[in-house]
Amino acid sequence: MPTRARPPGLDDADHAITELYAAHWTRLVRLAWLLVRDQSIAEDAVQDAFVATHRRWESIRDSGRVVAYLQTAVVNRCRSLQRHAVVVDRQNRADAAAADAPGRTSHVSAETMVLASDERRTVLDALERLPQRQREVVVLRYYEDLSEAQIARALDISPGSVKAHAHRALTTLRATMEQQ
Amino acid sequence: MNTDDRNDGHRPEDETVVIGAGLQHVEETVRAQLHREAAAIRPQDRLDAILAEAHGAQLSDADADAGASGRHRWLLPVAAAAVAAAVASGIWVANRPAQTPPPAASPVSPTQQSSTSSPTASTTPESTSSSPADTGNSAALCAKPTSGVSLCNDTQARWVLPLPVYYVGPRTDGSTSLVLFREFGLIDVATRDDAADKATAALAEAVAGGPAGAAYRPMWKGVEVDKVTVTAAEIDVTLSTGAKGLSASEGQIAVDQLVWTAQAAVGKGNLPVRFTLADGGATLAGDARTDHAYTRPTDEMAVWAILSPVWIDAPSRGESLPAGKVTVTGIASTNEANVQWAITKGGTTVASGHTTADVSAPSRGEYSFTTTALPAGDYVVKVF
Repeated sequence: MPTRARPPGLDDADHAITELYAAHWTRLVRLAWLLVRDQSIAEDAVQDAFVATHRRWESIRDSGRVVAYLQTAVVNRCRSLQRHAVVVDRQNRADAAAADAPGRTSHVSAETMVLASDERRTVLDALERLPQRQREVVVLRYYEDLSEAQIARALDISPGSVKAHAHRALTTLRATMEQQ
Repeated sequence: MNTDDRNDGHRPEDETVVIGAGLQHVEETVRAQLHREAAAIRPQDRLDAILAEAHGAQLSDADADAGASGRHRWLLPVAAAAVAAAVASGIWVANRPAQTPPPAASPVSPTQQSSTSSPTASTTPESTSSSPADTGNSAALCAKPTSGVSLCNDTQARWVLPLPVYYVGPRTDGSTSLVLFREFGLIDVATRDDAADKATAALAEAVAGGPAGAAYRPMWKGVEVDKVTVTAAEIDVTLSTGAKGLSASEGQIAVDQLVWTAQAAVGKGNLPVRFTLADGGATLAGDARTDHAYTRPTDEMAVWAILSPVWIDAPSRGESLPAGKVTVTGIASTNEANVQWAITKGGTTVASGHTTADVSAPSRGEYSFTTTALPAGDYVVKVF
């Protein structure tokens, strides 16, 4: 890799992070968003992952698994941010504000709300209700297109667990789709 | 440099997840939906912030490892104060009735001012997951936190949702005219989708009178929300007792406060709200009695008379955001739709400006403005 020829140090890490950013920032933020459903929190999670990668750049580079490291760091960070409830659910806020507009008449707004919630009851909403592990497996499998073994390594669980989580998740999602 | 090593992990045994044929269409739908929804997300540029933070961390690794030198977010509201301790410093926001008179030039003279809460952020380190090895585990992850704050849905942990709650305060500082202010507080609810649970939680906040440090007027001292039932036709609210010592006009706005809060939390428009008092009383507040249901007016002028002419929807009181530009959004009903704003830090104005809402009074319009880049710190947003 060209970066190998560069002198080690901050410049090397800066250069690598800049390239990684150009190649993966958008996709990783979207991955994080699928996990936390909040763009600001998603960006925070991926920013943290990039910073961690920068700080440990030399050992990560030498491992040759840079993007896998980033991916795992993003998933872990999303879980951590959710755990710490830094999430201010802006979508909920927007929905609540929309539903709270003064001057509505009861019939129209009640109908509007039912329609709106039906339209939003997408696969994504069902995904959000899955247990965390199942959601992570589904997003890594169907958004990141990782293999079962890659997911197992990323989440530090057994391949058998990946299969089980995926199967349970898809069964739940199928039930949701069939209800519609 | 080839930065895409996603296939590095492929080995012969790396088969894809094999799912029964009956689920194949589900897989296809999920894959398509995930890509479609995610494609709508347009991330903001943060490369500079990443490099700056990385170098900041390298200058002082000890601090970075303690998690104390990370980015700065708006501090979370009181409800999540224990969690907000993870943030070393941030930008504080709060909104409440004005302490100072509004500009004399504004005939409508709406004022909404925020106040600084004293930052209580401790240096308690947040455990950073800077290492992918830190995968945690579901059991620990979903343990019910002491603060009651959790968005984990694997367990019985409760939810914290931003719910609109109405509080009572003077229309302008010193005014005897009481109006409703809406705030989005982060509120602990038992379930995220149950309208009655959300209404119960929001009403409990409303009767409590207002967040700590806010200058709202508590109208329901000593009153508790016993039960809320939501049917297709109405919202039934059982209070422990009626409000005491309120005049007719105070009683009216007190009832409005609970009606607007309940309807907002339920989110199904103007479902009539019927009150029952557990102590058997029939006097709800002031002259208002429990013998009929209440609802919001739909007439613009009537709404104008009840609500504060301006309020802030985001950021929430005490919320923390990344340092940098801050976008403030809210609702205003002002003369010619004018909205003035100021950001203060330690009493000094650090940014100010004006914008317009999309409609003017008596209609209520949305406004939005973005500040210049603000360094990390505790700030107060004023909109008037």
